Amino acid sequence: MTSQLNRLTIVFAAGFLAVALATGYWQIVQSDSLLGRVDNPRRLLTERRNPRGDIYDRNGQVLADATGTPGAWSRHYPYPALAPVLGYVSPFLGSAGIEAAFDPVLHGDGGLDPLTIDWRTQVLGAPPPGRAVRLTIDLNLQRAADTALGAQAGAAVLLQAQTGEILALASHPTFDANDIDTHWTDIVNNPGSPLVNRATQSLYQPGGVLAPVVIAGALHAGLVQPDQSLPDAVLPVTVGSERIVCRQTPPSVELTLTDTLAYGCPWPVAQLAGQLGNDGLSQIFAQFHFYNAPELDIPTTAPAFTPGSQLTDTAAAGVGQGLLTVTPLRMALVAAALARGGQMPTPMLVLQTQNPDLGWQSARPAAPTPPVIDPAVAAEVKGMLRDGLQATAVTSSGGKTLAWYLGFAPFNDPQYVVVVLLEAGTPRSAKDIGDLLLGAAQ
Amino acid sequence: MPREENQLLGLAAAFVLVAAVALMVAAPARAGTWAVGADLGLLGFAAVWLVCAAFATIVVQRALPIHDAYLLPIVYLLSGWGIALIWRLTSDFAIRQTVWLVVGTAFMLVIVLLPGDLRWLRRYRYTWLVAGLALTALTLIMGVNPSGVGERLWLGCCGLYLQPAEILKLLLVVFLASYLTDRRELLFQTIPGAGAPLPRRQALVYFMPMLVMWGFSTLILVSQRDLGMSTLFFGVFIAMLYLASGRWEYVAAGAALLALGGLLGYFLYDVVALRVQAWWNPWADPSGRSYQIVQSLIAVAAGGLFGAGPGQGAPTLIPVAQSDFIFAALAEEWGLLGVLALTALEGGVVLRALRIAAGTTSAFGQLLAGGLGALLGLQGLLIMAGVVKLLPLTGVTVPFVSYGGSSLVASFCAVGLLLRISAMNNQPPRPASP
Repeated sequence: MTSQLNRLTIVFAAGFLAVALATGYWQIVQSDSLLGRVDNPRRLLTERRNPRGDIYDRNGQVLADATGTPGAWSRHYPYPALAPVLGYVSPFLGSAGIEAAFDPVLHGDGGLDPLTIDWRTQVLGAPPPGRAVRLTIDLNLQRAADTALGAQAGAAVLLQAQTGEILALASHPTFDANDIDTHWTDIVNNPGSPLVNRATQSLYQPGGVLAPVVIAGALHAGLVQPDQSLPDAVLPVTVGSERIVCRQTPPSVELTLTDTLAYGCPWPVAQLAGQLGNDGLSQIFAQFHFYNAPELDIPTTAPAFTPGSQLTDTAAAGVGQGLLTVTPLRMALVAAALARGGQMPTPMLVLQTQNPDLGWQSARPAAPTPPVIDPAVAAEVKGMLRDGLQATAVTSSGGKTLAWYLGFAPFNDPQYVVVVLLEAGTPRSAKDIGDLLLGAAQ
Repeated sequence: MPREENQLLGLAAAFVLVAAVALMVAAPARAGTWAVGADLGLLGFAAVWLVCAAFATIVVQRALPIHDAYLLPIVYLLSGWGIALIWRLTSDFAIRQTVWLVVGTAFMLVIVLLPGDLRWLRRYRYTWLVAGLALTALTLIMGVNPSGVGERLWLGCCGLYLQPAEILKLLLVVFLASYLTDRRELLFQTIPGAGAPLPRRQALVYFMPMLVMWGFSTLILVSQRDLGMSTLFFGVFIAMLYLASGRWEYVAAGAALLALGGLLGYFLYDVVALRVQAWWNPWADPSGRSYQIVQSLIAVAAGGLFGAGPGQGAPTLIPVAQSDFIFAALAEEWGLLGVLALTALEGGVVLRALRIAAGTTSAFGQLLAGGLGALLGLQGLLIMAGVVKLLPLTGVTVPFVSYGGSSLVASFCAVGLLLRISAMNNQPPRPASP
């Protein structure tokens, strides 16, 4: 039986060796891909003992910090309404917003090589500390925006027109990311979809807020003069089953372009769109980057259709009731371009981040881009928007009326741009919110 | 030889105590402050463990002056490490495991101290096995699961739970060793000097009692849906047939039958199909059916070469890590180095059992020791290979390490038998009584 026993010994030795080798395969070869999985909470669990970095507003006010006791730190948001920007972080739910975008900095391992991290974590027992991020948000303005929006579903964006720094970005309804694990199901099941950032991700029918863009295109193409008076301006435009009429009844049937914008009359805009034609309209939309999602640290969206091919109904497209949909953030960038000679800024949410040596490093401003439209044309359109632009839009499904407001200040040298969208409100109340923010910013 | 054994036990004690201290200071170490208190509970378990190991060694050295010197140090090191791991995962279970360690040690010593040789085991093989079968069959009627859900494989009374299949597996090895020893010539017909071979049909008749008994055992386990144990029984059966006959045909036929059985099981039993799917592609349903295996693989990966350190990882994220997935918990906190140590120690138990088999002259002793070695080895391989996705996952314990009272007691009984066999034919003449 000895030879059988010897062979059995060899078989078992091979078996145990195979187990050891397979373990080594998972621990060394497959390690990175397994540990990088979203269902691995280990990385974020270490933040219970190695606190995550703080998030500040532009003036150093705390937006997110770690509270608790050593060994049991947890994430805390003193100003919960900013959750659409800050996002959330949880070992079990993952992360979103700034928390996700700047996770390597906030967690503390960004910009360090794995050996240094292992050395400090395993040997010295002092893992690299979480580092702070300073946003462009101004907490006071943000608070004003959130208070003004209140319980209304909608969004408000306040930008520095020149630099693209976002001073306030509100999306309502919002949610509370404090202790998110326990009330996650409530957030997910909320019919108001608070997890969707309405300012950067929700695509809305632009309606009348698109008119300045069509007019800019028409002016550029020489189809119309700024002071030209337009006949039959109060006629309705029919899009599908909807009759689009002037937002306010004008005193006369013959209007200037400025009046057209002021009273929100669709007919002249539809006429100009028709004259621009499919190609002209597609061209001007492309120039204003309507087909691209704005570059930002948190997710943004763009309408999902191929430019050019589908603007068959130019009238509908011109009055903002076609396939082109927009985010409030995109409209704020468009407003900034119209207000500042065609210079469309790149939006920014982060001013500075902390280096591994805990010094502050400024975010690099985006390279200047050529004007999206002839500066002279931009100046002419700007002249028509002295009081900002109130507009309505009809949603393609359900026929609900959206209220838009687009404004900038000061008029002579615009520094601030605001866009407000209310899912169920009046353009007047949208304007009130926007003007309040512009006033607070100056 | 006792000196060698004592030295090895000293090393094992040093390892277990260092592990215990490391685990106890783990909480303040994680927090980086002494404000978080150290839990001293593990020291009590370590003390009980130390008493068990020392007492068992003294008794065994007195009763069997010549015995295998490596077995006791290895199994006590494994069980001490196991208690430390269980304490780290769910400290309540460590209390029970320590109690079971005391019970297991007692059973082992009783087997070591029983008078006479092991003839009582061999002679009443049918009685033993039928008793074991009856006990196991009882779970079909009044089986429970201590955790409240899952397969009902336990018999429970007064807060104590017994998994009869763990005892049945030992009795099956005893039965097979005894049967194969007595019928070897008739069964395999190749033993030199056994006379003219029997006609094939007649030889088959001699297989019947063994096949019937083994078949019954497997049938009960299959009807209980105890996949791990059924596979284990099959494997041990094949290994012992090979040991007795030296024929690879049995192994080949056994492997083919196992594959066939697996295939049938795949189509007949949902539980088999789920296990196989979770093994073949766990990434398809990582939050549902393969949650445990995926979390376990992530834990293994988190260990790396040196591990996170005792108490420094997060193996509690794996559901019920203390029994089936203790290997993953060990891999996370002790790293590949710990895994190499564990596989070497588990392999060491098998190696010692097979050496004991080779060193004894009685055919029954050889088959019993070889069978017990194969049993412990296969059991360890099945679960460890399952955790690292080499094989579909079968719910058996890592011998001596995983949480599980019946399994621990059965493993210690096996050690008792192995110690007895190692002492056979090796006993020095007893000193004349004064």
